[in-house]
Amino acid sequence: MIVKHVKTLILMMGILMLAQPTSGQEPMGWEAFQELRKEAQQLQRDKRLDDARELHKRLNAAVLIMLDDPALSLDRKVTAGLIVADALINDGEYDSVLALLERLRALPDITAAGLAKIQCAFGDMANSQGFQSKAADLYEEALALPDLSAGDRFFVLGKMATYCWRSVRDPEQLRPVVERMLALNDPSLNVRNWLRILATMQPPSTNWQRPETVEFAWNHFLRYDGISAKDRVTAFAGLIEARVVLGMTPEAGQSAAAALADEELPVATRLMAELVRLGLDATAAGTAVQSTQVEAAKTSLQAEALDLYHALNGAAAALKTLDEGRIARGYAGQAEQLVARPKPRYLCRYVEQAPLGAAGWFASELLADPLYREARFLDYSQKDADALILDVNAEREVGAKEQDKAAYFEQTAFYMVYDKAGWHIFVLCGEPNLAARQANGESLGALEMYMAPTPDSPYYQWIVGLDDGETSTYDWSSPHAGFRSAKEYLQAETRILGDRIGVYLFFPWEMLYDKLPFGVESGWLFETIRWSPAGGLSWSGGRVHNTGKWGSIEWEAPPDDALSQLRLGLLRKGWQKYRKASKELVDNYWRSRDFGDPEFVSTRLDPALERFDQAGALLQQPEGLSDAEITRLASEMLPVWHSFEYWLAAERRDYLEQRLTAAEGDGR
Amino acid sequence: MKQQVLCRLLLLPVLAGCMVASVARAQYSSYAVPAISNEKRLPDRLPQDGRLSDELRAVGAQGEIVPASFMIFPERDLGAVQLTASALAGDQGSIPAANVDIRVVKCWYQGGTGWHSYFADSDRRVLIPELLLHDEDLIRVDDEAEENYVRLGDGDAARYRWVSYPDQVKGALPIFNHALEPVADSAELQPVQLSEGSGKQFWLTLRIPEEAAAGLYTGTISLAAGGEELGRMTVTLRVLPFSLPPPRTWYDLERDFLSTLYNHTNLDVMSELLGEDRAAAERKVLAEMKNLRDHNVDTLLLPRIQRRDAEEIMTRQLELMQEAGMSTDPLIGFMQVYNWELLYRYLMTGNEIPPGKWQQLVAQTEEQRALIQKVLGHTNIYGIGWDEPGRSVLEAQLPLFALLHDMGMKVYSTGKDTHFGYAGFNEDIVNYPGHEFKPESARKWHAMGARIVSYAGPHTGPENPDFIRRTHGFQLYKADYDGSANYRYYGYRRNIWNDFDSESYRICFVYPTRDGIIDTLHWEGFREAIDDIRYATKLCQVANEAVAAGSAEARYAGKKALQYLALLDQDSADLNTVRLEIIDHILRMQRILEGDAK
Repeated sequence: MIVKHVKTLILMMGILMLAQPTSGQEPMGWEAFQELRKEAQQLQRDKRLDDARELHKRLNAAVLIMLDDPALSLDRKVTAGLIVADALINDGEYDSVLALLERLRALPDITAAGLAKIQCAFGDMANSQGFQSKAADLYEEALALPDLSAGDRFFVLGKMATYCWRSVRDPEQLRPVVERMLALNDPSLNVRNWLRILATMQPPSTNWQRPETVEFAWNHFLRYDGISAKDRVTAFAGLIEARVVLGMTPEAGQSAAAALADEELPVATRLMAELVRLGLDATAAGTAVQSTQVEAAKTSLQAEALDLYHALNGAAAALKTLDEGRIARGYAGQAEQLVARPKPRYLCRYVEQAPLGAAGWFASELLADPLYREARFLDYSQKDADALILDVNAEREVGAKEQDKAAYFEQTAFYMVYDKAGWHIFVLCGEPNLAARQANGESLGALEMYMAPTPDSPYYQWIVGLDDGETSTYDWSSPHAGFRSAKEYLQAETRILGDRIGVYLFFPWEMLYDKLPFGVESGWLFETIRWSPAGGLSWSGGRVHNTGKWGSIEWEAPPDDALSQLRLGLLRKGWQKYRKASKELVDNYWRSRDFGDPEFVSTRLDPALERFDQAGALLQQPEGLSDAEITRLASEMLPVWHSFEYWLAAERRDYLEQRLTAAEGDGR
Repeated sequence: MKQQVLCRLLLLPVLAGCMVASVARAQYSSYAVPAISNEKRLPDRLPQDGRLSDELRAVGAQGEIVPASFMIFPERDLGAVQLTASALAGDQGSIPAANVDIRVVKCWYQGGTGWHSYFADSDRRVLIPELLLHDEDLIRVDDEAEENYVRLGDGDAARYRWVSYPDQVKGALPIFNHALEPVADSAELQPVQLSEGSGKQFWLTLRIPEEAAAGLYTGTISLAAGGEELGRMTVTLRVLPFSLPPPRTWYDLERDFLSTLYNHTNLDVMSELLGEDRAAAERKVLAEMKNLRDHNVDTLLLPRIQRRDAEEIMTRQLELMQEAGMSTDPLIGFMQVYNWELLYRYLMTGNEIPPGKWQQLVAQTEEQRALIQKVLGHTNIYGIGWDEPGRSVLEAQLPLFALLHDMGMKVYSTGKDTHFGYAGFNEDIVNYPGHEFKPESARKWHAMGARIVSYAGPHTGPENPDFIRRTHGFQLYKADYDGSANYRYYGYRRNIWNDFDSESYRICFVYPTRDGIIDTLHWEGFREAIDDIRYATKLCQVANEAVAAGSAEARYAGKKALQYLALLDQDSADLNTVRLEIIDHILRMQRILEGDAK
């Protein structure tokens, strides 16, 4: 560190000595100037802007002397002056810029080209000061100077284009500038870079690009020789899409034909072009593109499955605005079929008594039983197309991070069972460097998990920190009669045993009494993502909140009387819950002298509560209830008993609404 | 005995949490349903929280915009049915039929997280009730293929565009410009196709005039097809003897509860979208502002404008806000406080801002302040800081914040608890992200004289109107927050109509069209969220009056009302019931106060 500072000091001293105007007003040589300029640039790259600014000031002083040096060519004087002016503009040293530019403009024999560049520097300064209109005027004035060559005019137009691109950030203002560049009609001028910028530029406040502008830019861009194949891929895709959007289908077809004929383009792009061409023909004829046509195109171009996948999606992208997306939908569907993969499934089995807590699971024989172990994790957010490059993957060399990740794939697994009490999950997270990580205070990562008991219901999300076991739940609905927050019910425990972290999670059936997974068509949506130190791995290969990728928990049918026992358990707990809630909400509130509403109680509550109590009495002798009777009692009373507060609120709402809208009285 | 009990239970009408008035017509069944509910009202699903009834009941304050809703389940194919609302007649006047707007709730396919989340999930398609349309054919839904199409143009020129294409085919072009594309809903409800076995939800928006006399108003909604009346819904509206105040905070009845949103509703954006057609941009901006105002958004977070004609744009923007009835005091935004170049080039690298650059910033800030003062007559202006700053960015902004404070202005910044320790002294409104609204966070900022508002708890996007109502209303209010400033009105997606072309977020409250806005269930939920706070504010105001009135009866009624609010569980209470309880308390207190006065 000290050595570095000493080096810096020496460098600075050298720079400052070099930059000092010599006592006899001896001008700095061109090479010395260039050297200093490089040093200033280096200071800027090093973010030492204060130092750079000081150096710019000294460079300015030096240049002012150089301007009087008869040995220095006019061209170099102007160049040096403009370099320093540009640096000073960036530093906000506008007075100095002004003085310098005026000196430059006053140089004897200054050329038209030099004047144009100086005028542009005035424009740059105005732009930097926030005077955009003035800047635009100054550039125009530069362009109006007489005797400018095409190259000079291109320089000025470049300044104007930069201003439209970087400052105004408006492609519609850039386009006429680029058109003026094209009108110079000089093939030696590099207009194509500006065409590419114009084609891809998005304005700052919106991402809106006019397709007309995109079409114009790519169309002209592709006329140039020497464009790389990579750039042609982008240009053809953009041009074809823009032409379809604009209804220029014949021209879109011509572009597709040109892309198809371009043998330097990747097979996927050429195949995309052919599919576009087929799609345009089919649209015009009102027919479909046959799968045999797609196959023939694939064969003809010797395309691989991955090429076809990208080509189908590319063609669909180009054609999606045409004919209500008729052809595009077909292509997109075919692409999807290519990468369709089955969602993971796990069978959750019934046990009489699940292991309790993380310690219970660590000690359980279930842990050694492969029937219960699920370890088929995939890379987090695995792209669909990855399914088509398996062979390539098998051959590739993996980096250190990926090698580390392999250990996490091997040592991450979950286990599940259910019993009469609820759903038990145990996630085993092996950590190869656990002790070392802990000693270094490094994070062990986290588990992010999701569950939805029906495809339609609000999903539950919870995150368990593997360092401390802290569990956070995130609700994606307000609690209501059909949704209970996991905060109230989820039990979680994290323990470390050796080099393994065990996370135990338990959902009691009370939380999900109305979503029991038995005798229903669909399984529960489920996802586990492990954020390991080497990266994410997820059961489905999907992303966070990616419900469409989540796997399914299937449920083993419970033994003969277990379901009734389970329901009976829920009924008993519901009855207790109801009794408590009824006392608190009805007896202590609605029947109270100070807060109560006798009419509400007598007309609405008492008749219903009598029925609920009678139903509760049946639980006194549960042995007398058949399975069918238990099922019926459960379906009718569980929603009331477990969610009595919502039943009561709905009753009260109806009562108040009726009273407030009754014809008699004033609602009070 | 056991059998008797079970049989009686079977007949319980209450199991679905509803009272059933036994009305079932031969042609259709109608259900009155709570407008704001957690229930997804789908064509094949009978409402669990509805009443089988042909009577709609609504209660609202003078000047309030009140939602009501019902579902129709046809017993046979009824064809194209025209629903027509009558005026609502009362003892002391009537409310014109024009104030009773009927829209159909359009179900369409959305991503797998639809109804629940703002995270995008393009790998699954779920049918979601969301759009409030006068013309249900504006969106065409293919149930078999689970695809959506939006109509462009009218009449013979009308054509549909596929708007449920997957992310993989989104292409290079942002193909949909909502300000230019000819998408527009009808001004009035068009005939609705009613088919056997397919229920439809209808949405009423009742605009109670400010001057409407308190009392009961009744009217009808007739259903007719082929010139034949199929039936009627009766509408009974109680207009309450009071109007709603602007929302105020729970902890201080004198402090405004800020209701705002991040938005694209500005002339800069619209001009860009409309190819600098300023007149069209102004029309569209004004229409959006009025829609925002109708939904209780009081002011707009305004972006920094960087254009040649920035002064003109800012001036007109402020004038349009005033025309739309929005508040411009305080004004949040416009102020050029953050600046990429200054921040990242100098302040974050430990370099001094060159004097020329600093003077330039000071001059521009002064110019903008002067402009705002000229148009609005005040300088109660909040400059907006860098979004979601980490500590280094936040601390680097200090000189910029200090500049604002030196000029008598204030600072608005997104932030969180950790900001308080090192930046608490320089933020005046802090916007907290996330689902947890903690009163202890609010207390800290209030102790500094600052205010705390919320975003991303959740972002806009979840269609469930009850979720939106709770998280933007009582949950913030009861946590002593000073407002809601969520992200955002609309605008995140490449194609606003497509829920499947993004792998990140599905953030939006509404769907912008060329000449206006398509409202949604969740957007109506937002209005009710703020109306909940307005009702609570009214309750507190009347309660304070009652407490001060003198008699024990009035005092106790006032205290009981305040007690009700204090005991209210904002996380789980049925908010429709809460609204009615609050009204009940207000009416009771008013009656006592009137009695005391006599």
